[in-house]
Amino acid sequence: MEGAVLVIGAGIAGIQTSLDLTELGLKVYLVEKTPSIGGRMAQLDKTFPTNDCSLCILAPKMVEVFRNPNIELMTYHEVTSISGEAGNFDVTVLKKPRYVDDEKCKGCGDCATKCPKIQVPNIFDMNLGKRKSVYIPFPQAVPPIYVIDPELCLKLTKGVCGVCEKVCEAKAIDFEQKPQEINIKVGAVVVATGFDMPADELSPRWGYRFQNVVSALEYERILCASGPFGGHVLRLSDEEEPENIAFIQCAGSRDLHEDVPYCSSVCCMYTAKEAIITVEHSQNAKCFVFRHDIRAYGKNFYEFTQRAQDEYGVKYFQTKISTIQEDPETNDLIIHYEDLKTGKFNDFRANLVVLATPLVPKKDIGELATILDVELDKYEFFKEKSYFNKSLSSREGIFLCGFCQGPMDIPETVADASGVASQVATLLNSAKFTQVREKEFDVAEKEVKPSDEPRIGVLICHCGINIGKYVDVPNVRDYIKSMPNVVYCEDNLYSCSSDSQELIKEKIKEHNLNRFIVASCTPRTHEPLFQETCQEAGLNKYLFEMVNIRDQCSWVHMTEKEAATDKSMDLIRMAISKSRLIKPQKEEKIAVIPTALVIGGGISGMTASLELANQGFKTYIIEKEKKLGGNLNNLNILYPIQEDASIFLNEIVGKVESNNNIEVHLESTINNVIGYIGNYDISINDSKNDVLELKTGAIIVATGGQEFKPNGLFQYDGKNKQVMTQLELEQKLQNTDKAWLEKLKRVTFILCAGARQKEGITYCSNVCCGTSIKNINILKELNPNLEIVVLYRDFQMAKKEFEEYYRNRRKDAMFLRYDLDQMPKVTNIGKSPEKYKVNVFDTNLQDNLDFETDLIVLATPMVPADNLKELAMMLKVPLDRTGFFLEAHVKLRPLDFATDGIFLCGVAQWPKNIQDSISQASGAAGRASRFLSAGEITTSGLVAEVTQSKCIGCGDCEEICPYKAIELVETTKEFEDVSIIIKKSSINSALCKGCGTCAATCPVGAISVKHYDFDQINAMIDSYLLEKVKNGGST
Amino acid sequence: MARYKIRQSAKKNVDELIAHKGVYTTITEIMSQPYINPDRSLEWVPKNIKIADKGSVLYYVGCIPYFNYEFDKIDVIALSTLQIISKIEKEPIVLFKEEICCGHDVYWGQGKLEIFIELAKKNIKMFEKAGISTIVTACAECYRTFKVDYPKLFEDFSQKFEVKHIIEYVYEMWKKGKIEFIGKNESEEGISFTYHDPCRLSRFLPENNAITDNTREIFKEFKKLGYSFNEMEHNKSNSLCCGVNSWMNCNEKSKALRYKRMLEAKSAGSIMLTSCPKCKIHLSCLQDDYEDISSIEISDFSEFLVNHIKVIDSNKNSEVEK
Amino acid sequence: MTETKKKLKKTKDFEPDLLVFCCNWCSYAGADLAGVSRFQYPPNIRVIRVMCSGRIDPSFVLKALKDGADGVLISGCHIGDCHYISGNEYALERFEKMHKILIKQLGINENRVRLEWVSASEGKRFAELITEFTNQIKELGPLKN
Repeated sequence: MEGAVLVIGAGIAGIQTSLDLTELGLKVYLVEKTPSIGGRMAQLDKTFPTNDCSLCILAPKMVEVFRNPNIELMTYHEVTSISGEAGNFDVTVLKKPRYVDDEKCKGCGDCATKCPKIQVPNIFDMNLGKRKSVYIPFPQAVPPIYVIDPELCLKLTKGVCGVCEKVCEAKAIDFEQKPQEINIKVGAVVVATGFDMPADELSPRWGYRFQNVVSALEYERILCASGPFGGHVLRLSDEEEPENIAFIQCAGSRDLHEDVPYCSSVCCMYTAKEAIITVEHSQNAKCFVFRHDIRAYGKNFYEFTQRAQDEYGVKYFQTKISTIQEDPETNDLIIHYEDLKTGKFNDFRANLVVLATPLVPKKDIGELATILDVELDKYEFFKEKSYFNKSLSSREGIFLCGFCQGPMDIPETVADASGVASQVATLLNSAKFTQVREKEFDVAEKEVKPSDEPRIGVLICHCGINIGKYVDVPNVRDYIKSMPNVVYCEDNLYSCSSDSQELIKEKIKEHNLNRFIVASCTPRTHEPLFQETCQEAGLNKYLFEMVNIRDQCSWVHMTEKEAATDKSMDLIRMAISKSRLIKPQKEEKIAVIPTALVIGGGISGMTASLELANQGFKTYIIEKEKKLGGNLNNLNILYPIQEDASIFLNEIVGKVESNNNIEVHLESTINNVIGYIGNYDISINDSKNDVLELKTGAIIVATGGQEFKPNGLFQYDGKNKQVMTQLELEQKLQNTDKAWLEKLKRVTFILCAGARQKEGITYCSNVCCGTSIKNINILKELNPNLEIVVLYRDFQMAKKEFEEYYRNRRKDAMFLRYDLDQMPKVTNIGKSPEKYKVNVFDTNLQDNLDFETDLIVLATPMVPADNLKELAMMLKVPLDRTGFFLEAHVKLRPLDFATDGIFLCGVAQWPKNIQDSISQASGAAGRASRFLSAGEITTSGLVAEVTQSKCIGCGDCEEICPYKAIELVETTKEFEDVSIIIKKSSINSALCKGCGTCAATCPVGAISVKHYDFDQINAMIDSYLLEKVKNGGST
Repeated sequence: MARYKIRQSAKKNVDELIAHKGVYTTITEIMSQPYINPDRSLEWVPKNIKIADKGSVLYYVGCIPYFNYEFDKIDVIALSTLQIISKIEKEPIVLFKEEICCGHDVYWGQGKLEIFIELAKKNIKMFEKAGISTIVTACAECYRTFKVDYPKLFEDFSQKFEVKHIIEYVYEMWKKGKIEFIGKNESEEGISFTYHDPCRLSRFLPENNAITDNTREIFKEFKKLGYSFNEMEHNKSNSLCCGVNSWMNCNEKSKALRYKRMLEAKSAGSIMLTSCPKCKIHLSCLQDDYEDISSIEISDFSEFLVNHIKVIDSNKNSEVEK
Repeated sequence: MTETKKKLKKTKDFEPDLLVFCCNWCSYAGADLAGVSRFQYPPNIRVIRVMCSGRIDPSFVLKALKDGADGVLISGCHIGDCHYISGNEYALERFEKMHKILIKQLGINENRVRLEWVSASEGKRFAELITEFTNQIKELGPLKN
């Protein structure tokens, strides 16, 4: 069995799964077809619903992939064949010629600057921006290696030019490169190829052929600060700021004519985001959203769409679009549409139209499916093994991750990626840690005491001509050479080349250096390289400092050599002053107890437990009820698979109960939790009211949720037997006695009962629409004569299965659309038998309807489980505004808490269906097992530390620490004639992330942040302002 | 200063001794620069009190406006002091928007004599320009600096300017028969209070000073109003220190000292008065830590006095808004 | 020379010393992007990199002003984008207090000390911000005038 995994596609899905896999002890071959990793997320401007800058949160992960010694990054590669079986696959990967030597290229971009080829549309900018024929897709591309487009390059097509070869100081251009086949052996394959968003395949009525009609992805690039217009909202025909911008929803999705019958699931949200950002960017812009149903089902999603309207003045119309035409004179667009609220046909003039085009499977997905020998579904997404096993493909050992399996948003994708990693780790459990390496250093680290005289070495890089041409490097070198404590200083052509690393090691030994500084490019990409070199020479990596004289001097002051030279001198001098004060730091190893606690024994808790147990970790389930299963116990039939819930439940409960690694405690509650990642002491009260003590390394919160009981709403009061909630209906349907159904003539479902309100429960609870559709169908099958009326507002039928599910069942009921402003009224008109009158204003018909009904079913939202506050306090994790648990980051860390070691999944995080709960549960298990698998955690050297003698125990730091890494410890101390309790802050280095906020908050300066300490920063400030030399460069 | 100098000569990081990461001493140093003209907020000055930028009586506020950066309820000292003075004086009181630090902390805490001299020169220039003859302050440290330290450097300082702590000022006015002390209301009868002598108003003043005794004389008068004044175990020049003068860092020893002080206060009365903003800040700060001493009400002398002063001659300003 | 002319001359010749604090994850990355994109800006700033804007202590700003900096810019991730969840919110809170209570009351023009958010994709904004900040300080003249 191989301890390596092939991941195909390096978007956020591939990136996340790769990172998790390496932490689970597996080597990763990450194959990406394009020259850079990052995928679609790199193209986005911001992300909903927090409007986080997309690249800001993605780029650190991209860099992490780049630096990870256990990820073999294969960009511009394609998989060509695969054979073998789960555990042992042989894969052939084609390395496409970049015509640039990836070992030699420094990413300086001189080739692109000099490349004479006329610029061509930049694919990364959705063809709106331009690039040369030698290029990197975007400035933050990983790896930062250039590539030559063979179809455009004059040398490759016509044999002329070759300028790039001449200007490349690194001699990296290689026109002779040929495609190369590489054979690798892996135990599993993860497919994460994402989606396409082609607008040009839409039928003509959407008007995409017109200049001022853009796709949403194109619009993302327009909005982006690093996009083709620098973030200015401009339209293409005249590069003027558009005033009226129309966003067209479902432009092709949910449309049989366009052959995209499913809902793309993310458009409602990104449209609200794009509209908000538009208003923020452009004062005169007015945004109009031509919507269908609003599908805003995630955390804070619905509220986000409301904010777009209430705070940003975005106007939403409920419409059907007929055509979009261009006014040839103004290049404005005329939208012909039907207003579904008035039933009238109107025209709307927009200066710019943004189409929410469907997200569809990759164009070449069929070829890949053939290579992999896996099946596609009817929409041509990869076909999952079964509905509840969406990560498994039709072939064992090949896993599906992210959008290539079906529509999902970024957090769902990230959760999915962690879940896939966990499932791969389970498959390859016996081969974990067989192929990963941890860097070991031959030379023992030399001791550097604070009292030792600093002996500083400085290497100043010319970066070819990138620094050397704009900064007088020899002059800088001579100036720096004269500084106190500088024992060695030289300049060279490329400080990052491998011979330079040898040079650095040699000089450290030769001069017995105890500090080293490289002045070159950005530490964000290159610091680890130099740190490793220092370590190889026996120098602690924290005794290295880096100065960025390229991005901060030569490249931004290209016409001011003297000033750029002065600035370089200042920056290096400042680094030297800091360097004198820096100390070697230790990275501690903390042992992790390889067991886990799972709080909650519902579907999420059980799934997470099985994942962990199957990887060999003892897992404790704490369930407060008498049996496992949670809400599943109350369900009748599961949608969309139409299976009996009890069959599904019994199967999984059976697996849990027969698993030797799982210990279930029913009717148990948690008393107390102390400790931190890797080492928790948990005290529980079991069914006999005995106290049990458990020791675990990780905790997963899977406390689920419950159905909201809408007392007082629509005659629901517990006494009226014929007004019930959805769950109460399910319980009734679980009974074999269905005679009561025979007596019914008409049943009325009221959707969003108590959900998506202006106050109270403002969110969409995601699952109620699907459940209602399921139940009307079941009722109809049981009693075909039954008349069913559904009062709804929007249908939440996102994801690939549900549009069709709804389409097939809508004949079973009459659907009336109501509005929040005119709520339906229910009056009791008979006690025995119970009878009700319903009054509703149907917005589709624009008419008031009155009818009688025998049964009312209320689709109410899910709310958090009871008593979460106490649990949250015990675990020191936060709840959000709505009472669900609050994850570390809604986009990229959906399953983590900010505090390491504790994870969450399922409805504890947010209302979701069983499939998504399972996906999250696997993911949470994967996140937790990263620590459990490694058996230890390594703390960073860059943490904060309390100087005990200075701490006054005020507790300000404890309060602000985002990671709950700080605790106040009390001791009683004697002082001559008084004895007082003294509180002292204590920072847990296993939890500290080194942000340093505590240090700036501490009123007495008792907290030092290693490597960014007060004396170090103060020394830099003094050095800059008090030691500055003017016009050093002019001499 | 000695600690600082010793550490400096031992090449230790001297800044570690400075409290609040040097924020307050750094702004003092900034203020010593000739090009810095502060623009202090006078928002705390009540609308009905007339202030001026020229005149004979200066209320020298000290660093209180900057203390708002980290501490609450300190403005009240400035407010009450100004209310007291303006009640009594006929002319508008001078308040400098561009007031700078007296230099006490950089001198005592860090031994930065040059900066101290720069500040003194700048201050004297400002006083002279405004035609000041009397400087009233409610800060013990400012008082000691003007009263003792400036004259050591500038011999004619004492001749040019009369320096008074608000206690001295009130005492003199009382003795002159310009004011009398009145009870606020009956509910206050029987309230016991004590007084914490700031070091700068007791042992750090020349021995012939009378402030400690004058303070007691005023309090004796309050007994007539139904209050009971009790001394703490350590008092006057023997009083316990708040532990953190001149922005030296607080630590557990200074906390223990303060705690002991608070216990003394607790057994002496329900209110503890003091007359130095830093004493008030630091003694109050300790109350957040220890429940058993949190009931003591810590007040500045001026805060306590402001509602108990009645001007005897018919002065228009006699009624002060509460 | 008249006062205005003097001032004009001063503005023209005056090269301010500006200190910029950048958080590692957004602003420093934004500065890097300005570099990679070759967006030009005046050479008057010196950047000190810290991991989070929450690390930036007001004492650093005061020290820089004491040492003679003509302006200080603090820069971090946009609110909501903080790599450390909420560090920038604390930075904002501290900054506003420092600005209002310390900087303003010291009589230092408030534009000399600024807090600006720059994201990793805002290379252009970084360059524009530095240009604008530098020009603004040039306009104000040296702190030591």
